[in-house]
Amino acid sequence: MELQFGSNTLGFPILSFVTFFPLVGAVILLFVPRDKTNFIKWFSFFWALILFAVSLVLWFKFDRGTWQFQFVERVPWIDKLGVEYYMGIDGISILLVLLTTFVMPVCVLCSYEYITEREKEYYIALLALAVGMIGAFCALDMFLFYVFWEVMLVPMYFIIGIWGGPRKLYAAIKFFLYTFFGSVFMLICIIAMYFMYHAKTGEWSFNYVKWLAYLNDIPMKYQFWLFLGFFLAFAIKVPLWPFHTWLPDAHVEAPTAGSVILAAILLKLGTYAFLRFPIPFFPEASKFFAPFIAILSIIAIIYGALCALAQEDMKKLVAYSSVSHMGLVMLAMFMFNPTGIMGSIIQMVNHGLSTGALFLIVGILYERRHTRLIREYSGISKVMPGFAVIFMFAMLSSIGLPGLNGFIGEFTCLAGVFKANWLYALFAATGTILGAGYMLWLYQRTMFGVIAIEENWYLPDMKLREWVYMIPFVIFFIWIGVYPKPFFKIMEASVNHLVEYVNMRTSSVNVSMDSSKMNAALSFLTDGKEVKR
Amino acid sequence: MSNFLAGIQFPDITAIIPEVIALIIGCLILLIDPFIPKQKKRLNGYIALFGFVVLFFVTLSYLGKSIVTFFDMFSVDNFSTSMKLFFFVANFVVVLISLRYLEMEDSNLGEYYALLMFATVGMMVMVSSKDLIMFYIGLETMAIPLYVLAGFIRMNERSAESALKYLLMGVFVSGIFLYGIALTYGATGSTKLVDIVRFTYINGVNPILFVAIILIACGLGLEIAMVPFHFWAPDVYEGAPTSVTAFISVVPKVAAIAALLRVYFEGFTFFAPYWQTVLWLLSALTMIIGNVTAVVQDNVKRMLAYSSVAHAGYMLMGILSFNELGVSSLVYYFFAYSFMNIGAFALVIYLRRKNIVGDRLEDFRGLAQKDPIAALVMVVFLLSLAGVPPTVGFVGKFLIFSAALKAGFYWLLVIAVVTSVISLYYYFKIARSMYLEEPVADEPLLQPLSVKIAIFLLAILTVVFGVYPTPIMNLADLSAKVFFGY
Repeated sequence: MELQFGSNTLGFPILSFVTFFPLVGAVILLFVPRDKTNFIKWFSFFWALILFAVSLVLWFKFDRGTWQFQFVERVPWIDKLGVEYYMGIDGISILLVLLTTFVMPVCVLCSYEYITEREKEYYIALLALAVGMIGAFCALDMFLFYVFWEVMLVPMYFIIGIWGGPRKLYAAIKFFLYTFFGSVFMLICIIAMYFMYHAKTGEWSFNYVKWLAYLNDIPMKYQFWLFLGFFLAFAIKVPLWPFHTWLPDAHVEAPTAGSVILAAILLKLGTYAFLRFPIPFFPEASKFFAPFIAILSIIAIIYGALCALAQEDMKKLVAYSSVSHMGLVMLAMFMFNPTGIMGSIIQMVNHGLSTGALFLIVGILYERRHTRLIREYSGISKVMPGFAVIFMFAMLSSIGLPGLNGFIGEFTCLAGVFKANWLYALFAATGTILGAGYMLWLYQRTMFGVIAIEENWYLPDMKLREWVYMIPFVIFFIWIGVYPKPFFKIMEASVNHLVEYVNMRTSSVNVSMDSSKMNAALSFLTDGKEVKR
Repeated sequence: MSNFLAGIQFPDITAIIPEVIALIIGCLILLIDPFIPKQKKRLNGYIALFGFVVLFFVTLSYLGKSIVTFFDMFSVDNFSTSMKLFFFVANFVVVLISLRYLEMEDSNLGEYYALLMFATVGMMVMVSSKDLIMFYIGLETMAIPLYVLAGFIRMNERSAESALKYLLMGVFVSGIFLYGIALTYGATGSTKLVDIVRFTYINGVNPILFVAIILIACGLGLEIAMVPFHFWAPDVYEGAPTSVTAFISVVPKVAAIAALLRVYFEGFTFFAPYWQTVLWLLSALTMIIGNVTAVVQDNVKRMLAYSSVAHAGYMLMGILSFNELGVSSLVYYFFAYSFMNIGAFALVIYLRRKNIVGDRLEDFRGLAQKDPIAALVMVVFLLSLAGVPPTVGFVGKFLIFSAALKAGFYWLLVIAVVTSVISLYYYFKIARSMYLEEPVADEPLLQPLSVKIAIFLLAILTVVFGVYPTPIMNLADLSAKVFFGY
């Protein structure tokens, strides 16, 4: 069998460059005196901007015709364990890498006035976080992936914990422990697969492509448990109901940039990882669990939306709307048809953009009034007309108005779900209706009406800096809303290949819940002797 | 093997050259100590540092050699050699963090370094012995200096209390160990591991040996600080001088685990399923009790004491896996554990200043603003202890978990990962104090240079071997071949 490791036509290790460029910036910042805050701010901004500019090369040089990995770098890393430094992206990950590099300069820019103490550490943490996120999207070696996956928790812990709100200590450690808890189970599963690979081929390797090629006949009873291990790690990250409880806390307490990164990138890592690892590794188990995941997703969609309706804190409202939207992404993904998966990827990007923008908007209001309670605001559109326009774009994008990006994502997702199961689509659509409800209601309560609170008369409209980082979001809302073709085109080949692969693997297998299979899976627990040495 | 049948032979003296050198250096320090004026007592420390460097390179030349001598009681093989190398690396750092600390405690006496040397000799004997009596001699040679070291700050009540506690527990437990040896001797007629394994191979299992196996585990369990012999650890760790705590929590523990490994692997090979079950239980309890109790501690030294109990549990997983990967992962874990644990204790010493021991959580408060680099280094150690990449602790845990998984201990593995999540919580209580809380105005930090060098050295090792673990892994593989290389 010929293994498709992919190639690098560019002749330049661009993925390493994009991944470690922020780290270089962080190290440089380490040596800058802490009282030069202006320099630190602008340095971080331009560093992130260069990062984004360089990453655009990926967009232009990406070969849309192939599903194989591109911009690949493969170097042996830990020979003894067979660990490789293997980076590469395909149609599934490229948009998320670009989303990350796009969000970074915005996050730097939106922190200029929000962060008023210990700026140096803050920007170092922000840049360090980018390393983990981009690395996790690019890593194709399971060991390497796990390293990046864990590395990004540490800066995020500090961003929430140092610069967060009143309950920051609780939120930070809760975030850290929850995600760490999930990932250690993934680690066990990775080790187990590592041994399976060795048993099969006699070679030690964590290489994703090799695992995919040779570990294609894992018995269902092992797949069952391995899938659950991966599921726990990623479901906590997504977060899927009922693993979502860390999210509102983390979102509410984190500084604006932290919330934006959480919503736009960190949650996407969960859904991305589902597409990348468990689904192709364990297609049978994925299909077996699909109904359960669909039910959890539907609960997340409706429960998240209902919770959002009830919130008094704007940030919490947006946080619960994330739970709802990510539920839709998960649901569409586990329908295993190209439309659903493409929809879920484009919805990941859309959610990143629109929810990121909403968090920025809440941040803009918070910087002016230092409160996020909805009842503290009314009639704001009169004093901040420019802001009201931007808010409207973000809000409409979030609820999926045709012509903006949210519509494209939700429509494709729902179409994919409908193809597989109309009943799921019915429930999922309820979520989008509720979504329109809470968002419009939020907009109405804060932007329209009379200005009841004296202070609100004197709120200044958006500043140049704020326009600069909000306008690109609006451009993307409209671009994806009106002409999404380039975005679908770039992922098409990879998604089709993934779906073909999964269907090929599962076509011969009956994936309904039959009791003998269940027993086989559970016998693994009781009959431990058989597997011991 | 050959000289077993050949009757009495003159033993191969070359096998014990490192031990002899260590003894000579220890005696040398004692001899010249009276002639060194009080202000220059550091010279003793420098001699010890130099001694460990010399010993390291002398022992390095033994790598790859295999000598069994002294009537099959003493063996030089890659396992014992790499354990000795480990002792010298760890002790080098311990001396480095002791130099200034002892001056601060006003007990800078040459005996300290001499005792450290003698304890090291005991441990070297322990890891090299192939006879239960030799194990016992090594254990006691190691333990007696440790009792003295624990009470080294004579005028401090807590230090004296901890020494006494340690002594009483130690004496009690060494009696149990002897009883285990006696039962083994009664059942098999020999204390040599080769004879024991030969006897059980011919005569099958003997119920008395089941008891002996447990008693031997108990005897070594004190130094390992595994449940249920961990009660002394927090009190002793808290009371003893911090540099001694750093030493006790790492080096003797590792020596005892290495000894246990050898006794079980080479002496009680045919009892493997039995002692695997025993260790399964002990390891699970050790991990759970160590990690859960650490959560409620406010004193950093006590917290690290319970954390070191928990780490003993992880290390026992390496033994009970009973495979090649288990041994090599264990050796790797020893190194990893020494870097990060001595590093964490070194930070406590770093905070030692007038009237402040530096072991309360409040002492760490706001360290990130007072001394950002030290705080960052501490975070590295804490991440490593919790097993977060890219640190040496992660690779260590990864290897240990792999070994347990390979041996099929799934539920133990689940306990291990869940408890390591719990451990993250209490480790990050320290990070929280350093980063998320405001500093309190108190005595300025002394920032002693030798401690600074030690913590940077350890932090660099922690990260470098976390990213590029191959050198230590090669050494670990060599030592695993001793037991499984045939």
